[in-house]
Amino acid sequence: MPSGLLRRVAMVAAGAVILVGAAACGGSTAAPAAAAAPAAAAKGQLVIYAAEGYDQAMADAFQKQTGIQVKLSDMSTGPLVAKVQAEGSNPQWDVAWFDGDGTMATLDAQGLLLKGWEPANAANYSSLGKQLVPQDQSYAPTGITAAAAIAYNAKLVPADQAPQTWTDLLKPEFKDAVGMNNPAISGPTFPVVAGFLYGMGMTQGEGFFTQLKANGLKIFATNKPTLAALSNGSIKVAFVQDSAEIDAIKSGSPLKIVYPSDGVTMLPSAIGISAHAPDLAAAKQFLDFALSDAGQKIMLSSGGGDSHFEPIINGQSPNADSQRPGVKWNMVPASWQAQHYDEIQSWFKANIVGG
Amino acid sequence: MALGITALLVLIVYPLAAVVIQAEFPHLFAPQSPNARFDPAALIRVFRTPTDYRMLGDSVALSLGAAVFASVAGGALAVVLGRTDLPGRAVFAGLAWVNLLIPSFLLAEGWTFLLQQGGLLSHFLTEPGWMQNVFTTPWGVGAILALKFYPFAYLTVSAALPWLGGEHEAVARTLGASTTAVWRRVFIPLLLPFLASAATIVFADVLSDFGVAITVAESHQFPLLTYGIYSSLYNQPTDYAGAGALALLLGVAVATALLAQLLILRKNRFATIHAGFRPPAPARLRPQVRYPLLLAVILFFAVALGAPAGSILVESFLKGSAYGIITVQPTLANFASLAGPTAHTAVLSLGYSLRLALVTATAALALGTLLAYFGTQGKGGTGQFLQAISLWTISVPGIILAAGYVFAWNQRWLSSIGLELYGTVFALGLCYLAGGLPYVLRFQMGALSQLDRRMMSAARVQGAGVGAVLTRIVTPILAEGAVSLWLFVLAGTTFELPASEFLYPPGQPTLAVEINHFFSESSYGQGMALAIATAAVLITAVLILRLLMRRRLPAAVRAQAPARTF
Repeated sequence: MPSGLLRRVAMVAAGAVILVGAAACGGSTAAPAAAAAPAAAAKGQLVIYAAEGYDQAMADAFQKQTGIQVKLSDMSTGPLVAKVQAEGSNPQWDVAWFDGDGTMATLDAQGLLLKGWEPANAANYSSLGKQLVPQDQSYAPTGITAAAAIAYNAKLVPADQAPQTWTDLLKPEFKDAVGMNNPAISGPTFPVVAGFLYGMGMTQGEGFFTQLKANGLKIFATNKPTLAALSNGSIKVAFVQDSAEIDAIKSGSPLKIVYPSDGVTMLPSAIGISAHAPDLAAAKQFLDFALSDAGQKIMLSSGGGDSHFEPIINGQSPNADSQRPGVKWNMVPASWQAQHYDEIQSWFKANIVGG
Repeated sequence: MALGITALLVLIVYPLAAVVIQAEFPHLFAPQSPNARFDPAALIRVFRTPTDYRMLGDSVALSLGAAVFASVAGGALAVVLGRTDLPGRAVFAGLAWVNLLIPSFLLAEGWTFLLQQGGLLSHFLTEPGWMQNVFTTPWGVGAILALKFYPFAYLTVSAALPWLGGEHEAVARTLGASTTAVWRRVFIPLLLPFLASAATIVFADVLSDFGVAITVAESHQFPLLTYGIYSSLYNQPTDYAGAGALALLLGVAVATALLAQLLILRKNRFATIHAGFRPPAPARLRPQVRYPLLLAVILFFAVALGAPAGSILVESFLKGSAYGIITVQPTLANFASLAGPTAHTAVLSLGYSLRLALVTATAALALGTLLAYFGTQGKGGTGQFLQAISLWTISVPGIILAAGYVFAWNQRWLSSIGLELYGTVFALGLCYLAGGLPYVLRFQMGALSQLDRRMMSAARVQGAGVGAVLTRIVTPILAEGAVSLWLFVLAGTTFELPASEFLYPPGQPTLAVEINHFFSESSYGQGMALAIATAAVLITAVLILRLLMRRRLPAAVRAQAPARTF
């Protein structure tokens, strides 16, 4: 086949295709594309990256109340953090919101978060809430769940034989019948592991997991397969984030939850403001909104499984499905989690998941 | 040519390189004091860690096995449906299409729901243990992946098949060859390039698969390379250097596969579409072959399509299926919820995603075909470069390319020259294009290599212009395959998640983002219903289109030569 001519036609056509394609994409969504221009971003537009069930409801309510245009990017936590880090020193986001203050501390250590600013509504924090605010005020906790509580299948385990402490999971009757998530895949599971190692001390904490493994611990990827295995009786007991356990029960799963007497590790949800937020004023206003009565009410009612959290704002109470009578909260400092992240992950991977 | 290559560099090479280069220069994009200090620690770690070797070995072995199985199954199916008078051919061809169009996360979910501990299978069988055990071995996972990807081989071979004309067989028969000899010496060698090309695509696709690998294989039993990539990305802080090093390793694996393909096929490419082309004759099957074959094809679809699709359908009619709760009371609640207010924006996002997918599929087809044309002209260096880039892109999990787009297009120096691509729908569209392009390139290079150049030269000698050659000869021959490709990219883009999640302009979620949001906020049934409803709409549209297309095919393809028995 000849031809310089054909080749030139082809080149022009290829260029045209790209341009037309791009123009058509833009054309179908003309308004938002224009809004992304720097001029419009300068004032009155808030960009939120969030991984919370109630994020859309909060974005809508905030926009309605303030008139500030809110652009929400809803993602899973893993991609969210990866995206924030990829944007690096040229961030396009104002506010990031997800479960896990340890992860927030990691972002803080990289200089990605605004420090030293206290929202006016921080005055609303309960005493527990105040303890969770980091010294450099680089993020604000908005609520807590248990990183893991014990859930057992009530069809297989009578209530009087249910485990009451973490060490009960080592009993012979739970041999090959305990499940958890893999912390390398499931974000909220790292604080669980860190919680044992911090609370018991490194050596004893590792010893606990080694014994669990010897008792036939099963590791699944994420909440969904773990809770499926528990619900359908392949295992008798599991420990995952309690908001997911509560949600499973609401979906008809025959589970019962135990908050062990030796305590559960708390998993705070937290908001961080970008150190280079394109719209800092709007970001600060949003953070105050999340700590306000109006904001908390929305979070507690419209987030699916994520609404099953324990408020840390005075005057708020958890929704009816998520009562935690007699729960004892254990705290793992976020900075400690960030410091020991690599060490704990690689130990767990080598000795508990593999090996 | 230059522009085509530039497009490829901008769309694929630059973003991928932005991640891979961090394996050598980890501080290049650091938020605080970025610098270009050379530090190959991540690369060295990969080569020093025995588990990484094992992951690579396991991944390559699994992908090879699945690629061979998928090519044989897809190729055989294409031959049976394209070259025999088996009853119900049109229906089976449609089923293969349905299989191709169901988004892979739904297929993975279907297999999981079926096979997980206490899943659907164990609910109906008293002793399903052995089956579950089989499916968690490398063999079982390989089989599931092959059943997921066989439609590529089916598509490739059935696009080539009508043009493997009867004239070759006529010559062989004149020279006294038996039926077996015709198959062994003529048809199979002619099909081999297409099978090999399909096999390399499956190989690359299996390498990049994460869904099946993690859910069915329960990663820890034999961790795969994608598992390593995801745990690098979910590391704190995100370990882009580690992910880049593993992506580089994938590139090496793919290059090796491509080299193997080149060596195998060195003497084996034939242009089969030429002026002496005679429409092939379908074989009339003898009854003792016909019915066992029919049964085999039915069984194949029962497993490849019936099992996972049936399983997700069952799941979508159950309330607590997210937690593996299997009851005998079906409910329409999941589908009914789509009409409710909580699903309003999600349903709207479907239109947005479809529009984007239409543009992407069209652009990918046009650009891919042009690049494929360049790649099949000339000496072959360009062609091999294009093949290598295509396969590498397919083998790297989508999330890496998407992250690469952030690094590549969210740079201050770009804003300073007025190029604000990141955060707009353009970046998302271009990343979709980059994801769809490699498939078009691979398929079209295969199709174009079938064309005998002398046919076009002859037309030119007789006074036909370039336009006439393109519209009267090339287009009709490539049309059917091109429409298939277009539909495939369209469907894939509609459900694309990793790029969507990373790159959608804030405030404008795509369909996959909405489905993912439902999944993660535990409105699992609602997400499932949305995904299934969309897939059903797409599949119906595609089947209708294909039906219409059949009536408009060039006469040569439809012409039925006198049937023979063999």
